[in-house]
Amino acid sequence: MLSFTLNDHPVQCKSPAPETSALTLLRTTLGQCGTKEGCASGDCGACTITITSPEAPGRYKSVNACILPAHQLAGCHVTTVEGLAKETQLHPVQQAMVEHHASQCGFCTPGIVMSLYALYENRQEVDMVDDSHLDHRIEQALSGNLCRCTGYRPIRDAARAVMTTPSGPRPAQDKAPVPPAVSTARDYLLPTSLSDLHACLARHPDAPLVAGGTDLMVEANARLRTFDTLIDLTRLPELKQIMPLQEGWYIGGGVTFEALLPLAEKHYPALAELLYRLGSRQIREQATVGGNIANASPIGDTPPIWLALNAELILDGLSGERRLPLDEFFTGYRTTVLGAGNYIKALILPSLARHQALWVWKLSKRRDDDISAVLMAASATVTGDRLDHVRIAFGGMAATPARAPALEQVLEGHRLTAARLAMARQALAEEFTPLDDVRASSTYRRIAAGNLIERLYWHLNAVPGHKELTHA
Amino acid sequence: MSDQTLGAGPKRIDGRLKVTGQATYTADHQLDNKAHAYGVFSTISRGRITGLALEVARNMPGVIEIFHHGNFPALHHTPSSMAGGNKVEETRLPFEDERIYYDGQFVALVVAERFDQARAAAQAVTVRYEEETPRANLEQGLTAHGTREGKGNHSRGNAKQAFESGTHRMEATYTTPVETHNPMEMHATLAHWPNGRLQVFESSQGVVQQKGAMAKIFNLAPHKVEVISTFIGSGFGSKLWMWPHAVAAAAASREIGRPVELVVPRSQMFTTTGHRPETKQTLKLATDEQGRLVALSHHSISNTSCTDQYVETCGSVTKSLYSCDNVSVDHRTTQVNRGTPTSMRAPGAAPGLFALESAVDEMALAAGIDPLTFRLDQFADRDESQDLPFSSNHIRETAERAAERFGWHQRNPKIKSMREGREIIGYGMAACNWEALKRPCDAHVALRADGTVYASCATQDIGTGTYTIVAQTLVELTGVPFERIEVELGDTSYPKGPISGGSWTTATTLPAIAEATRHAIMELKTRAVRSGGPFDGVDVASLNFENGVLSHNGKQMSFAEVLSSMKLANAEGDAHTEGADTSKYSYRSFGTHFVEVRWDPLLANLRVARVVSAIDVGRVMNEKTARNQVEGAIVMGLGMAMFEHTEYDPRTARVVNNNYAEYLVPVHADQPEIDVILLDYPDTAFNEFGARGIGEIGITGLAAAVANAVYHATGIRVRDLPITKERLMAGA
Ligand SMILES: Cc1cc2nc3c(=O)[nH]c(=O)nc-3n(C[C@H](O)[C@H](O)[C@H](O)COP(=O)(O)OP(=O)(O)OC[C@H]3O[C@@H](n4cnc5c(N)ncnc54)[C@H](O)[C@@H]3O)c2cc1C
Ligand code: FES
Ligand code: FES
Repeated sequence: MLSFTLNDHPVQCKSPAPETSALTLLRTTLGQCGTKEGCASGDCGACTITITSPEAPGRYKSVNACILPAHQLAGCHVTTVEGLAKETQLHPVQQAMVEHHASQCGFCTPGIVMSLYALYENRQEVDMVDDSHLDHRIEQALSGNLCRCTGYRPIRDAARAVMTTPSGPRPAQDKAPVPPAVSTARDYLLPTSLSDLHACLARHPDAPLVAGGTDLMVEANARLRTFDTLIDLTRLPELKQIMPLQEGWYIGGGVTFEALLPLAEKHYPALAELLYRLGSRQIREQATVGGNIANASPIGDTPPIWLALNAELILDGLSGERRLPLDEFFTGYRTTVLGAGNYIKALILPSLARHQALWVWKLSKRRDDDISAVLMAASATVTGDRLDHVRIAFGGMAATPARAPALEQVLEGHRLTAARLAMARQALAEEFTPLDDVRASSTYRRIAAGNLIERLYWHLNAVPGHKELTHA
Repeated sequence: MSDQTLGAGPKRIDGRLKVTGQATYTADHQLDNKAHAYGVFSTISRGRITGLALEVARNMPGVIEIFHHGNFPALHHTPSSMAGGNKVEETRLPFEDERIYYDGQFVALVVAERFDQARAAAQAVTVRYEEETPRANLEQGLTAHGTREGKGNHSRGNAKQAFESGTHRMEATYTTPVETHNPMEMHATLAHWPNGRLQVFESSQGVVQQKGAMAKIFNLAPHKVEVISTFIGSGFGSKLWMWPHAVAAAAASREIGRPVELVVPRSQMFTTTGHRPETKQTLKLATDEQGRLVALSHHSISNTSCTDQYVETCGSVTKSLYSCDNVSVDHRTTQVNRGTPTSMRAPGAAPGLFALESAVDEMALAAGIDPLTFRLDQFADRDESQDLPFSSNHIRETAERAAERFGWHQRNPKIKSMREGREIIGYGMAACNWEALKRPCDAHVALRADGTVYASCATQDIGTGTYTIVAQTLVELTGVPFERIEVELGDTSYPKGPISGGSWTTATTLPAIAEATRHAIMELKTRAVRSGGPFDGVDVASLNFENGVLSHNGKQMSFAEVLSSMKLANAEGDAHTEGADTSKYSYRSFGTHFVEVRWDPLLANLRVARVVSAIDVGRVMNEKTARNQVEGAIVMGLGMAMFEHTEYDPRTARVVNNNYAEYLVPVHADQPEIDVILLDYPDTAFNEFGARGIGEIGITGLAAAVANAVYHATGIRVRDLPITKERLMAGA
């Protein structure tokens, strides 16, 4: 049995197979066809819905239903495009979309309406200090919605209009009763405490873990993977904690990138800039810190940053709790030391020391909703012009996210002068033989990585007052 | 004119349905007892099937039937004639034999109770092939097959000789890659056979053509086929002509006696539903000493499939855009192992103007003339290829107004000369051009006793606002307010309407709607003056109809009252209008794009920051939908310039980036600042409304404007689309 609230109505349905997506459940099982499918891979946003989970009843998350495990709807308040209008009264977002001609063929529209609905309903979060700030928020909200017809301008106009029109109190939806978080499936386990989780792991040591599902479900859809049993990590409060520590921050393995943003904005601005460009809003609402590390993709965006900051992991599970520098975690292409029945409990992220700087630059073909071709994360203390404690890591340059020790050594204890830049480029070229794939050629990656070092050079040698771009 | 009529841009009448999720697209239809089909698609690109292992799949839950070349019912070929109303692009039927011509060809079709069951069983089918070496791209096709004659060639004067004796000359080859339409809604068919008739819900830009083709293929009297496409998640050309999946679904439904739904997965939207072909274009231009064009030749080769001939007419615009005595335009094709190509937004002109307008820029620079001046001096005043005047041409005004708004005159022509911070700024421009067509059309209009006005036509609204524009026309002609208008489109049971393509829907449909409306009004008047009618004995000619009211000598009655008083349900009008007479004028639309790019040399980071375009499409029927069409086309043109590229493995001819993650289209953050200037000069020689179409022109020339701006910023002349960072880095 799976129960949740859909557009203010309680829904109870038979437990779907573990790999079933929320989109399939909505469209096929429940016959609610307002939500569209455009790709089934999290790339287009046509399937966007909002969910409000029991832990944060006032907060609307926009998510891609096509890659959301249906079981994660348990106990949530789910809103789809069919649920916004009250009788004949359109929701302000819908009204604005009509008024600004923001829909042509209309196939992207349900998803866009829902992304804007989440933005609108969470508007308390949006401090609209000025127009550019609002534009930034709108851009973020729409970062995961493709439209092939309109060219986007009318959609942005609709968003601006609705966000700047004074509005009454929030609608009654919030008060709708949320059913208990029921999912009684035997093959989709939703532990709610660590002891529960450990019991699940002991019973099913080989069962895959799922957190946001933004990697796992894409793969399940594309390769038609089915699972005997899945263990879900999204209902574990311990995994969602963010706590200050003596040496820095404790970040639970289940923290989503959206939840990480406030910390990043405050303490690691370069990380925040990167997070704005990680996937899309819908992806960031689901994607977790632990998932991004555990999936060990060579082009995962955050591992190079954690490497550059000398982060550590806390692992737990059948092999017991242990603490491990991230440097020792990746063992090869998509392999790690984790082992079956274990999970990433937390990331220990050191605070930035005095004079320590962090630079993160991501290169991709498109600005949003695109995977990196090359990403460089570099950290060092800068005294005068001298670089110390240099740590530089790359994504997209090797089989795993990888540090560049030879490059680090060239820079360690030196000023990054033009001569040293040449040495650095040389060291880098010798250090990596990057991948050749559809995202970028090997040559491009090599040249681009070298250019990122050069960018660091310009950054460090910038004429004061010279306008410097902060990210690519 | 009130806010609700032509030109002013009322709200779209379908907007509400779309924002509430009530607009029903093909895969949203619920039919009782519906079964689901999923394809097994070939994983080789050339060869034949030597064996199919079906046992495992057959025994999987929910499986009803598996079709393949060994058991698929025998069907017929359609003659594939557009005039005959039965055109398809790929004439080979699915499962016709064991031959494989391209990656993604249907090799089997699994029908099951549920979608997931059909998909799982399709995955379980194994196919054995005998593989032959495929022709994976244009170059391989040329080596293996050479070229074939295309169509649309043109020659005047002696381009070869004039080129050789020219003072300034340029010669270059440009290439454009395969692009995939990728409308947001995937192709879908829902077919069933109530009482021996075939009814098909299809995401289609051409229901009338599909009906004709289905009738031929299934050997049915035309009236036994109905094709319905009420809402479509756009098509950009890929849904103009029916593709094999529709035939497969209809046949499967007939065989199992149940409705069958088949949605083409995103990955196969890259293989079996058409694409814009790869092109290779050689341009040779020469001017005299003063920089006047004396020779212009544009020879192109595009890929077609191994089953059908499709020609991308890259030189279609080259014939008439510039004034030049010696012109040679030639189109050829070569066969490769890809599905059959088809029209994609502005076919021919989009890749063709990339080459032509890049070459014109190169020519202007070689002759030492500002690219804007060069063009202004040489735009043709009449269509020299047909020796006809243009019905209406304001291209110079588009160039001048857009240049002014853009600030072209602040441009420092020196390469890499304009900077802001680390970024180098480049300015570029290009002309845009598209033919204006008008086709035959039928329509039906009724003034109804309940005070509403109704119109129907089989043509579709693919998102361009046809519902709204038809409604506006009715408002204008009857004076009945918007809320009391009902429009039905996209169903072959309505009067025959055109395909939604070629930007001719508006120009074609509105005259028929208008004519039918006048007939309906005349019918109303004729009834009203008959004996017993409210205007008994009045001369029809002196009876006035305005704002929905009949009047004569101070007596006034609304048409609803007139009809009710005679117990009539309605007064109807039907109309048939003809296509445009092309013997007196050449009909084309015109415009100019100006583009600002910003380039960060260190990162090879390129973005289009600003576009100013001025467009001359005759009368602007609805300011909002028109502007929107142009903006959408500009952003798609940006995709063409910078991202879009369907990549094939050169060894296997299989598509590598067959998804939205790797086939990149512009996203929200890529949109530049766009300023569209719409000229509004009614072209009454073309039709009574003076409106030419607007759907395609905006994409033409845009990629060239970007390439020209990139050259200005970087000194790198990119002649191969898309303009990627790799290309810039390699050229730097
Ligand atoms: C459209 C789209 C865009 C994307 N863009 C980006 C991008 O720009 N940059 C980027 O880096 N990534 C991107 N991704 C990939 C993905 O979102 C991230 O890798 C994300 O962090 C994965 O987290 P998750 O919680 O969704 O993982 P899941 O899919 O739930 O899990 C991924 C893997 O990690 C394991 N796992 C999850 N949590 C844990 C844990 N706590 N302990 C141990 N194992 C665990 C799972 O078993 C599984 O094997 C994108 C994905 C999509 C669909
Ligand atoms: S269907 Fe495209 S993101 Fe879900
Ligand atoms: S309106 Fe067609 S995809 Fe957005």
